[in-house]
Amino acid sequence: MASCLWLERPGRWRGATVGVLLLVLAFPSAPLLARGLTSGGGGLGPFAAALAHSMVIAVWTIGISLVVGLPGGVATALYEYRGRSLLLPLALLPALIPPFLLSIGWSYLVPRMRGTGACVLVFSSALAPLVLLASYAAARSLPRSLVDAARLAGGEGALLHSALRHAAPAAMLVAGFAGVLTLSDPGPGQVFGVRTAASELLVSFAAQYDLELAARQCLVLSAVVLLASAPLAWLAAPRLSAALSARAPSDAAPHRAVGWMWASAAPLATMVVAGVIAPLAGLVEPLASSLWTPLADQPHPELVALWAFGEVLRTVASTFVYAAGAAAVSVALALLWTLAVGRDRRLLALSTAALLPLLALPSATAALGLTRLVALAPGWADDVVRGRFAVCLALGLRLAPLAALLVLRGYGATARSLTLAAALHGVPLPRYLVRVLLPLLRSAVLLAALLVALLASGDVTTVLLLQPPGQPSLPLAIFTVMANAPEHLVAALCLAYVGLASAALIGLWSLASRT
Amino acid sequence: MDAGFELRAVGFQYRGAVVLDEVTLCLPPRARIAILGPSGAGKSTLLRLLAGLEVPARGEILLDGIVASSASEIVIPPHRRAISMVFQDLALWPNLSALDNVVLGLSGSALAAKARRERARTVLELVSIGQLAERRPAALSGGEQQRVALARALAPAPAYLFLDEPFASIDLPVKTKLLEAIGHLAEQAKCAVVLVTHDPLEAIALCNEAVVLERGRLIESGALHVLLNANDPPSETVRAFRAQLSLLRKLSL
Repeated sequence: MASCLWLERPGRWRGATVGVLLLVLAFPSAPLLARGLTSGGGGLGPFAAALAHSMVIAVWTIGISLVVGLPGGVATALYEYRGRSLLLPLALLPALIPPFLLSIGWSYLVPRMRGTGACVLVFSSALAPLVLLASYAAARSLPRSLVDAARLAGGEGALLHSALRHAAPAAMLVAGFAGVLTLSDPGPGQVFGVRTAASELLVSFAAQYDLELAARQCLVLSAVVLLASAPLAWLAAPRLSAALSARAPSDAAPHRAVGWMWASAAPLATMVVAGVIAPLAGLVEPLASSLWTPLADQPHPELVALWAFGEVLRTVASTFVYAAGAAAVSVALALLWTLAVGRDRRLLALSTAALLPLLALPSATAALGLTRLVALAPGWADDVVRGRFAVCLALGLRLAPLAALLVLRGYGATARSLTLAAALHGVPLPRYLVRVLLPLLRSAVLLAALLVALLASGDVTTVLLLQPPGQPSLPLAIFTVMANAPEHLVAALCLAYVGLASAALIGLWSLASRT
Repeated sequence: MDAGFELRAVGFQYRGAVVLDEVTLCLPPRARIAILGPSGAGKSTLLRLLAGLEVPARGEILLDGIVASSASEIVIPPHRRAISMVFQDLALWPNLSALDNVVLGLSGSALAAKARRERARTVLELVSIGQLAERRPAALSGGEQQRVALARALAPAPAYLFLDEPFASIDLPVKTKLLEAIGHLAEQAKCAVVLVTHDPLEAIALCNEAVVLERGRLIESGALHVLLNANDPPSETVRAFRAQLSLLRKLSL
């Protein structure tokens, strides 16, 4: 009978398992590496310019995300006021919306909006919520006694100052990481006509069908992303691993200080306007215009609705399968990762240092690698490697680092003594896993599955490269028609995606809360 | 005759630091032993080594004359040592009711499923919380949680009941009642009690023997009243205990 002590004991198998899991996550990228290294370096000149442009956008995004997210997160952790519980989730929401949808919304709202500034605005709207969340969590980790001591020493000003200093390192690391993430996202560049590295890469394989060039570009972009994210991950690893293994949350509740609530409300409101209200207004505007003032050369509103409904029907099943499949793959890997790491602090720090750069890699890295593998696969494996499974696998492997970090956090919040008590009472390991440990990890697993499903459902690159013929996801369908279709058609599809994603999110969350 | 636990030159290290060093002692069956010492002395580690939850770095631990743990190896697994433990944080499984905590705690016993539930209900009645059997730990007070932990520990009828500072965070009236109940129940169950504590009154209420650890080394051991009445005790812990007790005596005079 396997003992529960196995979960808590050190052993070489832990490091070996983590190593194998790392190889599994990196496996799809290996063929790309081989292909890129053997195919020379031609055609990278324009790409280098685009990469430089992407870096400028990343630097601006880091600055703006930090300026808005840090004070917003700290003040929201410290101050309570009417409407805070609504503003906070709304301000975090843009992090879950694919940036290209935000870009479409903004571009419809302000048609003349183009260029680098537009990309920076959209990326900041999408990524400042991550900085906000990190600052909020850091400020919430301040012990109540320290909060009280700062208040007694110098009032709210002194408290805010010390909390900002406390949260700044975490916020800067997350802002830096958010900047790296912008390098891999082609959406805003495509919509606003800016030649970024990720959009050049997308054009290479989606418009020029030059997979050799795309492989070389992807290799360069991945190297830059790894070079930028590895030091950040290394710096963040000790802090993050301590947070992942911390058991007790802070006991310092937000405080009602009427004169100071603006410090939280102003940044949050800015983020809600830039990340939710303006893009949504931009998507609603063409639909409303077409309803009120239908043009002679435009399709009738009922036809628009019918066409949008048809597109949604055509793509919804694939979108759901890709999202659910990716969530299943990610969560399974995350659970394995968590059991392998256990409470080994060195492995935990190593894991966080490795998972963050993997998460920052462009989705094209794994997808292009997998296309190579698929091409090499024998004919009898077609149903698997050329089917929806390949998309689920690629998306699941790409987002597994996020799921692993969340499940590791869930495991860190459980006490070691629970397992020791089970071992002492002779509880068999499978029974302990089913009756105690997995139910305790349920919230973390569910959150991981939800986030992975949402992010996977919005991914365009992977689906574009690996989808079986005629089975695109809804975001890919939008991406495909957005340049040529009338605005109100694209807007209808975008709103359908946002509505479906929100309904799924709310439905699953309420179901989980009930159970 | 049963020999109980015997530690022979047991050592333990944690991240390179020596936690226990050359500890040799005996814990006979049905003994009432307090393990005393300052924080970081290695008291809880000693308990976990005896329970088989940690592996000694050196030396060996014998149970009834048979090697239970040797250097870097657990020979007799924890659930075969007839030990139950009330942990410092109680280690109640938070997603299970009080009853299910006790039932799952009987996994190592030979009882059938129905008999386990009956046994669990009986023990919960015994510790006076039978009416709260369906509640989860979070819905119980600190004292009630202690009783659930105690019920889970007593349900398998252990030969050794280990208590790892279980009263550290509860108020005096509840602690007094619990000490009384544990003494009574342990007497009924005829099991040995090994208590890790900083509190002289807890030790006196439950135990008649003591082992004193300081900086990972065994400083002294023997009958509690002998240690407390010695002219020049070698351990700081016993000297501090005596000072506290004399303060209480002054108050009672």
